[in-house]
Amino acid sequence: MSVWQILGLTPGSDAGAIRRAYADRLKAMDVDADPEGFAHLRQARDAALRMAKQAPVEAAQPTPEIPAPEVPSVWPLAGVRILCAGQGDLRAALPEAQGPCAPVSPCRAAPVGEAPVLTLAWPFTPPTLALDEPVRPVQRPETRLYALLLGPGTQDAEPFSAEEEGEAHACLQSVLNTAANGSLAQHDAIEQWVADVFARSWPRCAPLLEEAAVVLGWHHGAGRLGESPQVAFLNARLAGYQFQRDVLLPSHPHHAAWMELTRDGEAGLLRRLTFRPRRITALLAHIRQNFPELENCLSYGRVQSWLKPEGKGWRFNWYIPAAIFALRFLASIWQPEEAPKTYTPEAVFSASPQFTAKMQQVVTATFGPGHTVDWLETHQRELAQTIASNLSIHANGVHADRSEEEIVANILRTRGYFAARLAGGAELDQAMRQRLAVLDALGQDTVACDAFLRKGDVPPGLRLSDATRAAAQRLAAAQVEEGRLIPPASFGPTNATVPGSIVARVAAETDLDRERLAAAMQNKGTPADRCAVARALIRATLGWKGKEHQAILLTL
Amino acid sequence: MLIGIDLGTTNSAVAIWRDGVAQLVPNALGEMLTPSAVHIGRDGAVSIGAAALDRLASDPGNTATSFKRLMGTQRTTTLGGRAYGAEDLSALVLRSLRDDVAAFAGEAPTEAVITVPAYFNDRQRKATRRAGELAGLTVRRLINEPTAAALAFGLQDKGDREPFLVFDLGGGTFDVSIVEMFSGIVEVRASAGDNRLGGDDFNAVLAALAQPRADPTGVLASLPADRREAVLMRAAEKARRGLTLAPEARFAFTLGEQTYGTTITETEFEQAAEDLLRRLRDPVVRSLRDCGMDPAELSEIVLVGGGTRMPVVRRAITRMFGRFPNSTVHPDHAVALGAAVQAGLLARDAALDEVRITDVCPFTLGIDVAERDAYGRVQQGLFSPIIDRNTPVPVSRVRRYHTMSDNQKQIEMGVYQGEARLVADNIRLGEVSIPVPARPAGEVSVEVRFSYDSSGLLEVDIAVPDTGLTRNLVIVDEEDRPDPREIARRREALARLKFHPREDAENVALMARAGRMYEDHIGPARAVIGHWITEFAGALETQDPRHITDARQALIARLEEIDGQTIL
Repeated sequence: MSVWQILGLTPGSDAGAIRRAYADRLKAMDVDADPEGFAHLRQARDAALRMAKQAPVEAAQPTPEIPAPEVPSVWPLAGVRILCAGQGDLRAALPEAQGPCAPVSPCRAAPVGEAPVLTLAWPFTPPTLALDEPVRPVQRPETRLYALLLGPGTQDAEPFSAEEEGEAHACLQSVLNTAANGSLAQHDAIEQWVADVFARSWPRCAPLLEEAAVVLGWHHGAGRLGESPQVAFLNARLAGYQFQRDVLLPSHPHHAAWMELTRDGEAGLLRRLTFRPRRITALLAHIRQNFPELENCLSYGRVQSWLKPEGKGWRFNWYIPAAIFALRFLASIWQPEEAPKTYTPEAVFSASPQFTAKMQQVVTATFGPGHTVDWLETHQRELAQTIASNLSIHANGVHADRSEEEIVANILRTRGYFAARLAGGAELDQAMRQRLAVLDALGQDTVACDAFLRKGDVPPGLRLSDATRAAAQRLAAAQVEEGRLIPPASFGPTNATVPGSIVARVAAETDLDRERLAAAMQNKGTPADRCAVARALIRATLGWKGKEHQAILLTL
Repeated sequence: MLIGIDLGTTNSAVAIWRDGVAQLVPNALGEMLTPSAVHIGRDGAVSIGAAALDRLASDPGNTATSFKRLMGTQRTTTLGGRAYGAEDLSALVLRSLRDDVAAFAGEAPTEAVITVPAYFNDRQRKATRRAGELAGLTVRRLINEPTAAALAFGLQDKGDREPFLVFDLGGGTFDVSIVEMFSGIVEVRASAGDNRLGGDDFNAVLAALAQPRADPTGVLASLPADRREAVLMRAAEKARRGLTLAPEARFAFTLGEQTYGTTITETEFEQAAEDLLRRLRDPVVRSLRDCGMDPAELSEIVLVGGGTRMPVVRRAITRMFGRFPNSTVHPDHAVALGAAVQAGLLARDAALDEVRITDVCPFTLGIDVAERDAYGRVQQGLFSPIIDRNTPVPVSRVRRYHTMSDNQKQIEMGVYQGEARLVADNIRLGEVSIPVPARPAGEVSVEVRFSYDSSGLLEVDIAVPDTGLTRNLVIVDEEDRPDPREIARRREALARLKFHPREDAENVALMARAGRMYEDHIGPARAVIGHWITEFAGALETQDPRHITDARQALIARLEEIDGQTIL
């Protein structure tokens, strides 16, 4: 069904009509009884609103030309010239310089490229400069930060020098202030920019990471579902950085092990005896699981001496494993190769004789004498596999209260019922007769009756007459031959009008008054009523020859 | 009769739907708001509301406030020598609200709609239901606070509304909801929040800022911890309210014969509360992202909850959205009125025939899975979402999973609720297992269907297509309801407490208030107040109603001269 059909509108209606149609349909339905219908309706409305939003925009007049804020595709790494009073066309952008303009110390003369472009790069707004400040910044803070982290000359990922670090902190502070004081969209865009730049420039950005994480709230969202990959990466690195800092405090549980492993040289025998190796292994496991990059901080030789404490004397022992391998090789040449152990599924092709015999017995019991497992496989392989799977579960002890025949019979009954529904006609009548036989056999047990009507579950130990079983076998065999016993698919609620004479027969058989009868027919009465009515209705309809025959049977 | 109750961290209110309109019900003192505070004396005498709040000054060890924060946990508070859980204390407050309705409407209500923060998890919601039961009320529905506020706001003029955002900053919780209304359908598009952010946190920040300045010698350290907390929090609350009205406020408390105080300016407070204001942003961003909206598309920002009166919060909101918020709806009353509207809807009142509410589920629901990573290692305990947060409810989703090892006998899965990637950080709702046929790893698949309906019922259906076997698990909101004897026992324990009769409520409250003012003042003022208290107590003993009423009016007038406001 198309979106417009679900809403009942002509395609291309406007948003108001879509909403009204949705409102009317929502009020008419019971949302809890039909969650799928509600989901369809809601999706249809959202899709229709989206389509309605796009179409009129194209049809309307062209929007007036508003220059969008320019986002430079290449970050202005070329930098700006150092300004002093009276120079360049950028004077117009900055307030009046008072006296000689002192650049930020130390004076960083970035390489002068073409004329600098001072556009209003979204989301960074120009900083407001206080006129009484003695020092005027000559570069935008985000530009400077980018240059410090990812600019030319930083490819080797050296750490900051002291002055660079101070500058970077100041620039970051100003960027974070813009974010904190800006609107939601600005904050979002700045956060993404910072995450991206930091992720690309790690580990050079390590000193700045903690401050940014605190201000932007990354540690709140650590480990959450909606985390962006850059933030996840940075959170992990930050955790490692903090661990490295915290483990140097004597009170940290891993402190002793860390100090031990960061010493130079190798651990001697005495050391290994006096220092509990459990602490070492705990620390190594913790690092390897959470912060693998920290293992570079430990001294390799010492770690190896802890893990492989053999002395020099072991070096000659490779003879022993070599000898063992040689012997095994010789042995394998002498003995015939064992077949590689492959997995033997306990499925239809299993070698186990008991299983095959069981399977054959079940097939004969279900489809009648003369039908074999091979016959079933030829016509409906998937059904054979299902039966085999259920038998293997039963062999494991599940559902021990039922016999295998009962389990398989239940499966086939449900599938046969659905296949008959699709087929209609005489087959539907036969399937309904069997259903009626089961309902009669269940008798007055309303709980079982209700379960059978709703889910098709039959209590263990149900006895049906031989004639019924023979008819069921014939029907099942016929359906398998045509390959129609597919797994059941659900169908939506159906309704049909019941002619008066059938209603009279049902009332006579069940002995219910009009109200309860009507409620039970609409699936609203007590389970006992519904069961009785269902039984009587099937019986009455099977004898009816009118045109509602099929429709009524399909609702039961 | 169905009533709507707003059970808040700081204040509670109750409203009913009558004559086609929602009305608030006044309590015994004539106020619409009842503070969520309980005091139980050694003799078992219980005070609830303003009287208990005033006793916070004189007897903080036996007074409990902000116990909504403890809902869903097993922590108990000791009052009057016995331990009470958060549910019991909430039940006492609900009980007093129920009595107020009985006095107002003439009949005692038996059913209620109670509001909970939209971001309350499963355990906290169950605890709220149990509190209602302990108070003798059947809880028909738990409605989210921002949805209730949206109802109260949106049904004012019964028109259509473009999507608006409800910003609910209460005493202990913060919730954000984006709601749209058209043709009588109230549709919640997204919900988010923070359960640990509210007016109380701002109080803590203010106290941390002011304490070193007001008490440089550290006199407070000599007090027991709960007394110190109570003193600091009261002073911080008063100072914070003062900052709402003026750019400077006094943070002061009295200990013994000495008053300690300092002045706080608004800029200092804003700097100190910077972290909290930053945290206000996250739920807003999350809810906007989940429904795919731009902040510019919102038509209004509706402010609900006492915390939104703070100028620092209003400035932060204005900066966030670039426009002024809408404060036409009364921030303290909106939620209770909305709950009354929902009560009217449940009672199928004819005036509300054309109104329908569709809500969303605020948490992600899923199961725990194990995955093989690129090195072939198996990572266990990962969370696989099946129903994402902020999908419209009722919803039903299916996902397929496979077995991890050869010849696996059964698949066991735990059902979890939360946002974290590892299930250890999420809330476990239940578990279900199903046997599978013996096959190589990965060949057996299982389909898991989660169905979540509008009353909070989660149904899990697992099916193994290979065998046709299905299993079903229903996780009801009151799944681990303690057996009825337990509930009856707890209700009896509460009933054994001594409650003041309703007629005495005003006198009790007045005595408590006078006691608080006695604590707050020093020197000659304190002596005079003590004298007045003795006079009033003497008037109460005469048991002559007219005499008592006159004495009460006189005392109220005198107290108001000295100190104009109550803590409310």
